[in-house]
Amino acid sequence: MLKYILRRFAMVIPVLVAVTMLCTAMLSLLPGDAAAVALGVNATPELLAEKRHEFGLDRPFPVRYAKWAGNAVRGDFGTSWKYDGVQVIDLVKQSFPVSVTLAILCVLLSLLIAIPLGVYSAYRVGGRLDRAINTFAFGTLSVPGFVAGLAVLLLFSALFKRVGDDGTVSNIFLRDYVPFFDNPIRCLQSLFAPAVAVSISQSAGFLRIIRTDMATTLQDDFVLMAKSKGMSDRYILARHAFRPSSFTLMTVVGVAVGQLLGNLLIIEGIFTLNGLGGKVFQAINDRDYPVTLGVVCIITVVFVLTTTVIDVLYGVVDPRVRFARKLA
Amino acid sequence: MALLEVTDLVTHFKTDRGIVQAVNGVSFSLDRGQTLGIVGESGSGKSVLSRSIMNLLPRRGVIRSGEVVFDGKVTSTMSSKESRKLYGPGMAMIFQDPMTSLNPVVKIGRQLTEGLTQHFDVKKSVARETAEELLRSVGIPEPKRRLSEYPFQLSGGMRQRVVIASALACGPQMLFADEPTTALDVTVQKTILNLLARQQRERDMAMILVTHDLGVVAGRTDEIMVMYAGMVVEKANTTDLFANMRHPYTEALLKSIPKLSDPSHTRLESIPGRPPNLIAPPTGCRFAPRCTYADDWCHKELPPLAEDPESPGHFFRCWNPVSVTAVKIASKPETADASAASAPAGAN
Amino acid sequence: MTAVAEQREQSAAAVTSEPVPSVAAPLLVRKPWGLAFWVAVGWLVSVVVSTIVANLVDWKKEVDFLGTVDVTEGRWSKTISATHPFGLNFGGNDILVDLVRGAKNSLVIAAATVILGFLVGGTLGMVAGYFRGRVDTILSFFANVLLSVPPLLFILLMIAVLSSRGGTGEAQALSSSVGKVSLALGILSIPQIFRVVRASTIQFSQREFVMAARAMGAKVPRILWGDILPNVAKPMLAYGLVSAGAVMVIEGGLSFLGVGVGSGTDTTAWGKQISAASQRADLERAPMVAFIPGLALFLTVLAFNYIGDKARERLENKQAAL
Repeated sequence: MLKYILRRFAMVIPVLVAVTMLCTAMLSLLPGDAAAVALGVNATPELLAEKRHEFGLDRPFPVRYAKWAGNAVRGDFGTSWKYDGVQVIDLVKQSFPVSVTLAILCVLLSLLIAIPLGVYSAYRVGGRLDRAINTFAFGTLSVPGFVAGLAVLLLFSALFKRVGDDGTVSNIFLRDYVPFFDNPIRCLQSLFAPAVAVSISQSAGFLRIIRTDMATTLQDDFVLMAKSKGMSDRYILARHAFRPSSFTLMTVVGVAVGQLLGNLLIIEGIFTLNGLGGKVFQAINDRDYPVTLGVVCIITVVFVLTTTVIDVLYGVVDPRVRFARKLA
Repeated sequence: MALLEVTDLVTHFKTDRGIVQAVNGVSFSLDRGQTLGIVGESGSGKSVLSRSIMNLLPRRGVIRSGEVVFDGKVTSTMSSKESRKLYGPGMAMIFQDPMTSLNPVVKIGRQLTEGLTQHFDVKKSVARETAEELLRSVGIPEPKRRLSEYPFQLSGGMRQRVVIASALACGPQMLFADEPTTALDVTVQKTILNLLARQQRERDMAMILVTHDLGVVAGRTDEIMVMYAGMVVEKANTTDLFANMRHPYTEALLKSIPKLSDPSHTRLESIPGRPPNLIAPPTGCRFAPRCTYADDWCHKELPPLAEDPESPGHFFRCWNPVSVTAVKIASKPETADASAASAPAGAN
Repeated sequence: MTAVAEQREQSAAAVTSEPVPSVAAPLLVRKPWGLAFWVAVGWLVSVVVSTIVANLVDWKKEVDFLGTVDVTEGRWSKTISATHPFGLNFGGNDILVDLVRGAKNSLVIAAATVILGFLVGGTLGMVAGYFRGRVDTILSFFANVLLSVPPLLFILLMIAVLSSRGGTGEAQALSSSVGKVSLALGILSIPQIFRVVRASTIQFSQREFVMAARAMGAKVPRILWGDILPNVAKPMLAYGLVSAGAVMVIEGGLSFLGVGVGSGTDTTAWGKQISAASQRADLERAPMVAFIPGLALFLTVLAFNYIGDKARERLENKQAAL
């Protein structure tokens, strides 16, 4: 079992290397001169050349990559090219928890909505409520993320606007972000609106998956057998039917967390959150290689790690997979 | 009083293609300790019948009528909540495919004990001991270890034993065995059937053995009911049925079983034609399109289920029954009125 | 006897399932598609037709671009008139006209992306799924790598790479054209399509009719083209439609960020219209200006998703039925 886990985690490395190599390659293809960006329009050719040397731009690509990778493994992602002397790590340190907390919150909220509704729909497949839920889910699934974001933003600012005695306008759901461990409630408040925006379509996706899988499972013989032994519907749903139906959902959730980190860019922009997405967008625009690489690297690591964790979890949840491993 | 009384049970399903008349007026009764064999091909309605009796039909799209009385209580009108109390200690069912009757991701132990904890107020440890004992009684070696194992770790025959154990856990008064051996190897079939018979004897349990194989019910049942197109076409006690079968379908079934005593290269007999259309059944006798004895009258008029006056307890539904000595129930149109007047009692 | 024969025919036909005569048969079965389906189709058709018509007609002469009421002065609803059924946006342009102009780019990008994705991803997927072995391992590895990159970031990078070169010290703003966006999105969609086609191919390769073809000595390209492709293509059709919808969403997001189509003043896209409106501080007074293009985008994506879903249902039903 342990070997299996280790083997799966070992797979992370080649993927990581490939991804970062790809990004480095693409970054070097970017038009525009990073040195020029850093120094501004008025730099002299000598200063530009010096800067280029400092950035290592005059070395061939494999050398550059090896140098970066060697440092990265030790945790040193270098310094930003735009903001002189600022470590990439420092720039990223603040944004990372924002995005991660938001991603987790989005997924949790979506699951909270999707699982009960999905299970119920499968239970009463074809019924009026099921059809209504399904149609509604299908609709919300098609809502583009940024449209939902805008809608939620407007809605929340209209609904929850409060004007204080001294004329200041405040809104309980549109506050600034506060790290979770500092003040959980405020943190959740600040992230609630964007989480809602994302979960509008995300929960619909989860719901359909659970509904399909569970509806299929409920047709299995062992469900009828359990019923014929006198087990109650609720027992069957919770203790018999849910587990085998949750596999696809598990995979999707794992993928969602990883993907969200990158895709939250737009939502972060709409709700003015200082997240990883915004950082990297800015960095690309600024031709700030180290920051871009650093952020992409982190996001990819998280993504690959989560999918690997899910894979391993598969083995835990589904005994058949576990035993197949043992035999294999 | 009989343990189970089924009167005129009708079960139809509403589908996109029309109304499927799966069960069309079936009646029988069953006493404690008795074994009834229900024989029929796919589509005869035998599985639907057992599920109808147990109230295990889908929630929507089902049209039912008729009455089922079990242990003195009318069960056909029970709600699903009330029916649930019946399951376990009252009626139980084992299904055809042991591969799918057990939940693959739940340990065997729990699948055995859940019925016990649901119906009786027992402690977990007591339930586990009972489960272990159950496994032993169905012939599973190392029962204690099996409790924490999963179904996929057992062979097909073993799994069916576990299914049987879990169905019998609460000591039901009646057991439905729906094709219990069809999915198993031939060598295992006999052992499973013997196991069922022994359990039945020890528990004084009534059993309904549903199968398509006449060979399975021969010698293991007290009474046999042959079904075709949702109707009973012949019903008799076992010896009578094999000795004096009346219905052409029963005869055809028996003829289609190859015998060891036949010379080699004997052609296999099969029943010509296709299975019946349950949505738009033909007028007249449902078996007529495939029957070698059918005449015009058979295609026009559905024969009633009538008792053989010379052999009480033996019912059949045919205008041209097999065997010369059988009394015909009038097949000529001219004598229709006379026959209607003289139709024997017990007609269905 | 004829009555009986008729009965037999009837019963035989109704109970036993008809063999599926051709690959397209499931789609032609008489069962009605449903009203919603045709509404969705109608919507898509009208969008496409309107863009085609708009291309042909030089509307600059026909339509009065600038309305009489400036949205910023009053509410949006006041800008609605007979010649401007959807009113005007903040820039003074007719919203309906903008919608139609924006549609064209979005649709073209969606189509180009899906086509590119299927051509490359589909072919590679079939190759990987049929031959397995080393080829499969390598291709799958690359697909996984590509899939591990957060899509939006990847697209940004790609577009940045493809952005117009030139200029000196200034950092170039990301700009792009229909071609660049399609290429970027197309490349991104390749691994996903690759995966799906590969799985489908693996499934079909193991079926007997492929083994039979091989046993008859058919050459590989012929097997791929004649046996596997028709079978794999069926579920791909539905998947393609749904993909088109997803691509439109991403493209909308890109143009919302300002990275999508149209750094020039003549090109526009729905996302861009939404972002232009939403960045204004007085959005609250006329939210519809942002939401009309948003609604258009939503309806189009919904239509794609719905049609794709219905098609998939159809095809799956027939395959799973008996």
